[in-house]
Amino acid sequence: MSPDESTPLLEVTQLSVAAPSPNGELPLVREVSLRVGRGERLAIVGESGSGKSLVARSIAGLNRKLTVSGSVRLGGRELLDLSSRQMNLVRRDRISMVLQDPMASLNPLMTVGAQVAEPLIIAGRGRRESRDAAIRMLDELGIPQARSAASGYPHELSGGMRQRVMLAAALIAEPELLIADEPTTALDVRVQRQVLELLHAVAAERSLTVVMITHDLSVVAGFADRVATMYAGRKVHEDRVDRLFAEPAHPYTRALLDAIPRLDDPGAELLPIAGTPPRPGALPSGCSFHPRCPRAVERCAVDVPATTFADDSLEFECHRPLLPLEVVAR
Amino acid sequence: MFWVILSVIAALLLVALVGPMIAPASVNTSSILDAFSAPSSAHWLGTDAQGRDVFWRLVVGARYSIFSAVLVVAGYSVIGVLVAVAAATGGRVVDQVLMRVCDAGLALPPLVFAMGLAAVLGGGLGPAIVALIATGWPFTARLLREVLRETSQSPFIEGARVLGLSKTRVMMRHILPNSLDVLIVKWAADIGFVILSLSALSFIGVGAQPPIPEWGALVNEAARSTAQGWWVIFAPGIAIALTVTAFALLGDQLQARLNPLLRTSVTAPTVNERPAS
Amino acid sequence: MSVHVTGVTKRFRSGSRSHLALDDVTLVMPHGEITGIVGESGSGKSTLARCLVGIEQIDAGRIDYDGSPLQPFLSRRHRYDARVQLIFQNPMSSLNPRMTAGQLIEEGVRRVPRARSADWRRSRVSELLEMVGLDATDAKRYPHSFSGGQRQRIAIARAMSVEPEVLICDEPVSALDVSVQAQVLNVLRDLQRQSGITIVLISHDLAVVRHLCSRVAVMFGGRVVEQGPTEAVFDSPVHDYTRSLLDAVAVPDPRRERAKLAEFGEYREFRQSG
Repeated sequence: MSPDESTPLLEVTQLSVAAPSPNGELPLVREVSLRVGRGERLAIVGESGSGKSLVARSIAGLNRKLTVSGSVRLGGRELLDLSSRQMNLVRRDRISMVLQDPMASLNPLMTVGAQVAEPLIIAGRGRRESRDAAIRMLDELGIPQARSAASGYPHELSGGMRQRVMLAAALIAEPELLIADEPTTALDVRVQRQVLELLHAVAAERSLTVVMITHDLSVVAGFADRVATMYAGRKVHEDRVDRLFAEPAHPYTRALLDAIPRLDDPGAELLPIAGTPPRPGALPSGCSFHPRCPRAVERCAVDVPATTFADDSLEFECHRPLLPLEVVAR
Repeated sequence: MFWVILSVIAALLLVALVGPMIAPASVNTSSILDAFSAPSSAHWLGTDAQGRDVFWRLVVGARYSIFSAVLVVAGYSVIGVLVAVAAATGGRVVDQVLMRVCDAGLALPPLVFAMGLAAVLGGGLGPAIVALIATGWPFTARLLREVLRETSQSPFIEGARVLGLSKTRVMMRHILPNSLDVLIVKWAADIGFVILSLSALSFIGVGAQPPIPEWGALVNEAARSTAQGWWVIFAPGIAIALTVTAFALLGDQLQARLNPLLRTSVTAPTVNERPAS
Repeated sequence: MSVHVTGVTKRFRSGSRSHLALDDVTLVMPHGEITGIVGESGSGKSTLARCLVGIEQIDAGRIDYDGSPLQPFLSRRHRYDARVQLIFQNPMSSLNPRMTAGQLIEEGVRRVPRARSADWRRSRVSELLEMVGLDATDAKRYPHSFSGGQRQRIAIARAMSVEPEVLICDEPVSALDVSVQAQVLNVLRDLQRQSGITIVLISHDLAVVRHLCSRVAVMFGGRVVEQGPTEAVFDSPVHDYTRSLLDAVAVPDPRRERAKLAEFGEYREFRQSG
């Protein structure tokens, strides 16, 4: 199967995730579609409960206990139909994940080097060769004295160093797609910056395709090419990163940007978003965001907004979008 | 499963409550002529050595067995809670002394100790209850003391203290109510165990005395005449086994139902939480 | 009430090892202002918060409130001084799950000397709930039925119920979702503006501190490395550490962020080729 250049590397279509509950299925992710081209970087932002992590986990085939429907294609190949053994192979060779909590994702009883080398060893490469590759990888990721660090254990490392080890293990098998789920959230400001810089540099050197999940818009501002905003299980907005920050078309993205204090604009008034995100079992009628939306009109409480494709990069679900100038001009 | 167990227990409690009222007046009168008649439509579980109806004796005895057990558990729980609270609030010396006393109590085999104590007190249902209370409280006190210690480290307890609330208020309104769910589970399981202990005391003769139809006493009486009628010993034996099992299962079920519910509301994790510095 | 921290040292011991959490910390938090304390994990900022309230005893130095120390520092068997209140980081675990919002707040209201009548207490509870942007009818609800942001506001209402003069907030919004952080931050700002209370805001988030505080202290490794008016510290930092912190903060501006990442890329290329 040779991937056609024009098909995106990752194509998620109408992905839904639901959790069984005593009162029927709870919809956690609702018909989310995404396309990520080779070498492209997509960020998915949203609050807790928006379903952003579930989308990431579904792409990596980690939601076996939930009801996942729709389609996830990697290089044209459907992943949702694969058996768990086949999916293991996909995760070994093609998709890697970096998670929020490096301590919970590293085995405390295995040396750092062995964990980084593990994907290669599983793939059948020699021990010595794998180990040397692991040390080179650790060195590339800026771990000082990589050789001796490789024979140490995760608990001897700081949070930032652990995240680098996670990244080394994720990259060593040269995946096509890297999924980073809140990779900087648990880290201190300066370490957060280091990890972000490193992630950017290694992804650039390898022309890696990245899907990054985060609740922090600032983190992805310089990293992502495109940003998708999720709310209450739906992708409500997607745009090129520059336009999304400068002229957010969806009122929710706008509200998120207005609600965070900015170091570069300390005098700005903070505009809190009224209310709280809805729970999956109790979604509002019409547009899920309407009870909290400053622009909501009667229609928003009645009609579910359909997806509007404004130009080749902007799409949104909103009855009263804040259209960017260049879209209006056309 | 939970509801099945709960209805079995409800039925047992109902029998214990109304049993003596609906039992025929003849339940304690012996009629030697009827002795050891096998189970029949007139006597569902047959009759004993004195010709008394085994079924009705069981029904009447349920009150003694079950209510005595409830009394024992309530008794030692009150003492245990008082001791644990005193230890937790009274400063280091009080804590050390009370806990060492508890440890001493825990070191003795409870049933053997209770037998001795009941005998010293002269035997009978009352002394047996007192003896079981006396041997039971250290278990509650020790367990609750540990739970209180754990709960008192929760952030919301620190918050209550910082508000300037008195020690007593923090203990009674904040720490204790958030520690008792462990005991609720223990109580349910304990009632079964105490019924068994009480029966054991009655069986060896230092508990309920004839003609009180406490179930252990029934087994004791019947043990002398198993050859003439197996049902006489079987019936109370099975009643004890069933009741003990029901309460033990209730304890298990409560643990499964109560714990995660209460725990999640106390320490629900948040996604964007940062480690405290 | 102004707070003066002078030469405060706090050491934690476990077995033979000991760790200096606060190392000769000297700080001024002026009356009626919001003072920010920023630092990364391990900087000692949370330990300082706990020492300010009296949960932790200090080993050396003194903490004065309007010139005199709090009672907790004087006696071992203490009852906390209600004039200084603490808001915890995680509102999920800082409220008793078995008491309603109203009961939790009323507990503090009772401590105020004039809280004789039940009517007064009830109206005071409603007043406090409304002050933090909640509804008086919310008094009957239990903590688990509120969202994180609402719970944090209940915690603030509760702390305010004893009419404190100093409110210490230890990472009050870092456990909250982005969309609700502003609710809590605005409540704090309004409190300071309206009641003139002294607020100490401890946070790892420099943008939050810059937004809210008139003074700021930067902590690193148990020491205060820099302090002063917020604008001065943020616009012309003196200490290298402060500068490195400010450089590291991500801002929601793609152009600036890309420039920062590109700079690192060049540095990395240079290092690898060299």
